Amino acid sequence: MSRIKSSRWWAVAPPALAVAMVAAASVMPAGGSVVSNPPRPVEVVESSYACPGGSIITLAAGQVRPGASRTVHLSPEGTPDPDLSDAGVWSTASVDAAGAIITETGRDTGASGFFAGRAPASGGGGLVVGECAGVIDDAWFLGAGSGDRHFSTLILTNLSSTPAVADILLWGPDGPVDAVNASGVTLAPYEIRRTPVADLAAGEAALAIEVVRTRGSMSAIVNDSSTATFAGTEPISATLTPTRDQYVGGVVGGARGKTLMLLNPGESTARVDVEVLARSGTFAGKGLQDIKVEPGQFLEVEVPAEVGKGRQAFHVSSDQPVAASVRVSANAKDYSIAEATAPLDGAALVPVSAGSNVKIPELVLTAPGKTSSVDIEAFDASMKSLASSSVGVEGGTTVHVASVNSKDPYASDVAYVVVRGTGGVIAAAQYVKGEGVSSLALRAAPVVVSAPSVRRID
Amino acid sequence: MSHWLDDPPTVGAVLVSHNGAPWLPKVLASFSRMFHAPDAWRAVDVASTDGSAELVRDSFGNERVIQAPKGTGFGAAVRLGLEAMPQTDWIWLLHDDSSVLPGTLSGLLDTATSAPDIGIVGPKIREWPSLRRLLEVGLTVTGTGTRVTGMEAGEPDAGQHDRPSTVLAVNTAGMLIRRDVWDELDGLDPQLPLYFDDIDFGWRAARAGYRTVTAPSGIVFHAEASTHGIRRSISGDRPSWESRRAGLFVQLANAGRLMFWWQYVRLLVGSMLRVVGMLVGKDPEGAGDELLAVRSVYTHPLRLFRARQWRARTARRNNREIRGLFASVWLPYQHGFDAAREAFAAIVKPETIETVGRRSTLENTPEEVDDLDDGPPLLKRRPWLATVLALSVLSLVASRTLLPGAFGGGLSGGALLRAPDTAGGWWSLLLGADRGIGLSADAGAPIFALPLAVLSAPVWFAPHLLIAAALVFAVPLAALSAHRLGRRITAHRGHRIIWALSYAAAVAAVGAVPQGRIGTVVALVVAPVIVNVGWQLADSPGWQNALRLGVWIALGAAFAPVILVMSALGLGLLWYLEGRWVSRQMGLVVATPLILLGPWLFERALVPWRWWWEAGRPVPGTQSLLDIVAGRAGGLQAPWWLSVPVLVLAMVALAPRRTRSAVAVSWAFGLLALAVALVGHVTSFAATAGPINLAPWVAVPSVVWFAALSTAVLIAASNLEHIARPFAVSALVAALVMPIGVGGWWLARGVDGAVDGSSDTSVPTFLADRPGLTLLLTGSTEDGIEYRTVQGAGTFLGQEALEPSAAASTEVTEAVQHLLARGTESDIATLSAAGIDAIYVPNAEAELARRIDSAPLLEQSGSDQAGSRVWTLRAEPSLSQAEVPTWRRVVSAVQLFAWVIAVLMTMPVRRREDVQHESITTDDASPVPAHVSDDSEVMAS
Repeated sequence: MSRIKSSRWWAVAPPALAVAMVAAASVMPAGGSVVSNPPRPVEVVESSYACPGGSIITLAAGQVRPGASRTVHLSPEGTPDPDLSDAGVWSTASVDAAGAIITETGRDTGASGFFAGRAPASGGGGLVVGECAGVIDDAWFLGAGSGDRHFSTLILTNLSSTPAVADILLWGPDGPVDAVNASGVTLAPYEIRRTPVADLAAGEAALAIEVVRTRGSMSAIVNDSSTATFAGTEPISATLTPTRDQYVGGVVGGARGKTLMLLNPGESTARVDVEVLARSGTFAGKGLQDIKVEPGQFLEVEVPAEVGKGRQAFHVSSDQPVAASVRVSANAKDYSIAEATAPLDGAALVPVSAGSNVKIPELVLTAPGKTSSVDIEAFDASMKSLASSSVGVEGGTTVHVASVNSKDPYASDVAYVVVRGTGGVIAAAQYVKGEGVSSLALRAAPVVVSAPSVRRID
Repeated sequence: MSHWLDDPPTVGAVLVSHNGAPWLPKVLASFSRMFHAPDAWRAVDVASTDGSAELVRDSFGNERVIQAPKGTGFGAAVRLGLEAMPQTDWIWLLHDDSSVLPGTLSGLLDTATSAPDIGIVGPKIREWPSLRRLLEVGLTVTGTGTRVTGMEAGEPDAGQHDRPSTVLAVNTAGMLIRRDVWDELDGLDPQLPLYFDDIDFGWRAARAGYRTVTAPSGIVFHAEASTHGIRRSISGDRPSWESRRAGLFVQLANAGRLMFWWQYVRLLVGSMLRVVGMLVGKDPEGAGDELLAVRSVYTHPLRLFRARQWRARTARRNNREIRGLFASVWLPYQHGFDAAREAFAAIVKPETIETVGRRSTLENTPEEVDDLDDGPPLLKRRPWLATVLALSVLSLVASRTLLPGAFGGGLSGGALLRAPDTAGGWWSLLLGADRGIGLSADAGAPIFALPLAVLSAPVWFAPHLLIAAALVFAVPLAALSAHRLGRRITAHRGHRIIWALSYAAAVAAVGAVPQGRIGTVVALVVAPVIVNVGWQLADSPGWQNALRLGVWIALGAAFAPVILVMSALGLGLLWYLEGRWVSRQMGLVVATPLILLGPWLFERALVPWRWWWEAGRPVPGTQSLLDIVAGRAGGLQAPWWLSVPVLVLAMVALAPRRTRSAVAVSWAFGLLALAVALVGHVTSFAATAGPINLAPWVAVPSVVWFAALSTAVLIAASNLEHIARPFAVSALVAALVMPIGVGGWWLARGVDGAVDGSSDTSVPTFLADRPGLTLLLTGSTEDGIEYRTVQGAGTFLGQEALEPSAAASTEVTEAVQHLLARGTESDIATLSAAGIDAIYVPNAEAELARRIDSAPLLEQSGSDQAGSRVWTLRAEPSLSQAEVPTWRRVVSAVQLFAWVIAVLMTMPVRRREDVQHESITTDDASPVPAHVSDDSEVMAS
């Protein structure tokens, strides 16, 4: 060990070197910082959704990109429907069954299903256009009823081969409503159950419904019909989960008035302000400021006529989480319900052919923030692109455009359009047939879904 | 009954000499002082070349000395003597290396005349020349043909064998035989010229109905010159394998008719096993002797047949009637265990193997009997032994909370996983087709499973005892290994003990045990050994030391891969400091761990930063810079300020110029360890298992840094005698702060921490009993979900290191991802195909549970605790997924073989002591070779 001498240098160098090393380490960040793995998008490889059926109902099944396979089980027998089973085309068929469960496989297909029809006069009449529902976690439906000539039917569907269970909660103007047999509602595999809301709580003219899936794979939708002050039939799709800031788009013009429906499921009074996004711009809705919604209250607020009758969107802000929808009584024969939706971030399918005599739908587009645009592309039933265009929407305004120009030569061939947005536009489609009217909130077809990051640790 | 002295029986003595000149003068002199002397004498000299014949001729006269040709056996020599001697009542056989006391023959006759059925009497034989150590008081033999005296090695004669007893045989040195018995049995078997003739004669006498009795009042001192090879040999002497041949021959010649064939096969198989054992124990000469002995016996069946016929002639009783005279049937196995234990000690602590040796000198006479003194108390006589014993007791006290688990179901918690149910779990991990982790794995088994598998074999059904022992006795084990290193550093016993205790205190202070850091514990126990062997290599470069260093580095790195990094740096520094090393040795040191660690090295130890992942779960460290400087690593550790005195003393240690160079060397090694610890502090690593971006646990380099500073203090302590007493006392007190302070903290706090004896089952029992795997999900939807597949009760120590195969992992990960996004039947089918039949979420958040709930083909099941959720898959799981690739198992087997070879090659080679041969030496002055008696001899061999 002769290379280290006993010189004085060695008496001080080692401690000095140690201090220097520690000092150097002290200015460097320590290792082992926590790295979180946020949720990430996961490609959808299989989509299942349930559509209500009936003799007057036409089903449409489509996808953004061709899928690998599509199976259709008609309830209650579970028989297949060959007319809807081609995952490479836009399919329509009349389904004389209680409902249909459609499963489509394939990566990123964005499979979606729609139903359309005209309700019989005995049931209120009116045009019905809606989107088939996929698996719900916690779904909120506003504007149902079980009395005073306003009746709704809750349609629950078990989408899988294992039993599914859900809890149903009801709210009325006076707060939560005790529902009968609403807890632990169990559906057999692939069962479609239509439950009149009156069976859960009779005599309620205005109700909000929450369906909480506790087990299995279940979808939910509400069919609403009325012969009261507003008359007609309309499917109620799930609105956004209660939140403090949301937009209700696709509020169609209504000669007979509009009703803002608010639910405060929390335990504190919510103070709600509403802004109206109309063609001319955004303005505070007169009579729609500082609306108090008591805890547990489902409140219907008549929108003053001063707000206007054109196509609009409502910006609902609150100090407590609330759920919101708007019912538009277009005429004496029919009404529509617009649900709160998130800005369109992806591709949404819009069925163009929704039955005989139904006009080509109009798209109601709202840009709640800065000026945005959406791309519209028309396809025929074989999924061949026919034309495309882009529509700009000025920030804070609502516009409406025809989904397809009826004067175009290919207009008659269009089966559906795909509306693509990048998160800046609230979109809805409005269908009109005579006096019948229906509003369809546009949601991005399920191409990807957010899922927690997954990592193997052994 | 009259005393024999009233009518003394006649006794004829026969002395056989063969190159016994070193002992004969005293032997012959002892004959002249007997109270009762034989009536007749004959001396037979067998071709002595060292003047023995002249000596006996001078003593007995030419007419009483018979000259026998070379090669004459002992029995044949006695025959020659008897033929030339008048008939007497008794015959007394004497060796040229055995002296007698004045009352020896009287004592023998006292016993011989006490009963009519006594045919043979033997004396109490003590070690030549005068110590009270007993050699024999009667003989017997085991079923494997091993001579048994029943004495402990070096057992002192304290009168414990002073009652005459009936035995199978007695040594021919001092053997008194009734003449009629001798004649009836036809004397000693000429087939047994040197060894086992006494046992054979006693055995035949017993079967003829005579008793062989010990006469403890008759004492003979025996040098056992032939047995110990200290007699000058000449051509014609018996070969070295004669002893074993005689043992086999006697067993087979005297075995009963029914037992003969059993013994015939058993001894053959047993001999082959002995050959293997000797080869493993690096005793090739012994193995060769064994083979030659077997060949000699088994290739002469006719000779064996005649020997059995010759014995049957006089046999009146069968062996069953005299079975009480034989050794226990378990004795051979006990001998085997002792041999294995000694071999292990030779590997682990070669220089500490002590032999009782022989303290013979020819200067003492039998009369100068030294009484053995019990000496001072243990603490004063063996202070380090007493310290270790005290540390062991204190370890039990400090580990009081671990003991129930240690002796119960095993310890687990923190970084420590449970031990497998049997040691076979670790063997299966290494060599089995199914590693029991569920999914197939690409990575090799962790190499630390190999020593665990080997060491747990003796406690096959309770391997957790091995882990528990390592944790409970971590501190005394560390002290032991440090103290052995300390012997090289200083000769001052007190300083050395304090230094070793400081190191042990550092191991306790770092808190590895309560955190379940089994890798750290093993590495810190092994680290001083690595330094020690490295030092040996520096002192005496050689391939065996280089190989030994490589093996120890590999062992330490197996449990804590950072040892490999530190060793590489240390070797580099040593190379620089030495400046004279040849690259061949360095190459061997480096190559050995590379070979022994095998593919695991490249999957773990050489993956940047993953070398921080020690054996067990990769639990992150929480150290601060202050902790590192104080030799700690964060967590459950002793107060850092207890290290301050050593830090100060280490700086002061650089002051004395006389020791500065050595102190600076110690500092240099310490700075390397500090650098490694600091690098660990500022880096992160991603283990295969566990969360990503882990902060390394830097206990190993931190403690080594502290130990190096302690060593600097130890080196400088030699200056204490040159400085003023107050300063010396102050330094001593400062040095004691660490061991005493940490010791108090350790005892008061115990090792209570993450480790305990609670069940370490990862999943509920009802899931563990299911045939398939359980998918275990932890984490949250916001911060990410982690999953693992659990087979049975869960992972045991070693399984955590297995990296799943990319294919299996990707498929299952994707399925889990989709399950948590929008589960489909195909996702469930993928899980089933991977062998999964249940999903368990110990802490299920609502969102996570809802996502799983929506998947098809799942059924909710009851769970074991609040907040947890269980789903079972409706599909039958596929149970044939976890096959280990064949090449993996082959590699593991090759690695195992490499370890065996490497360990065997590091063992000291046993060489038979050179027998003084006439053609080699003519030095008569020192017939008794030096025997191994201190530390260094065996190592040097």
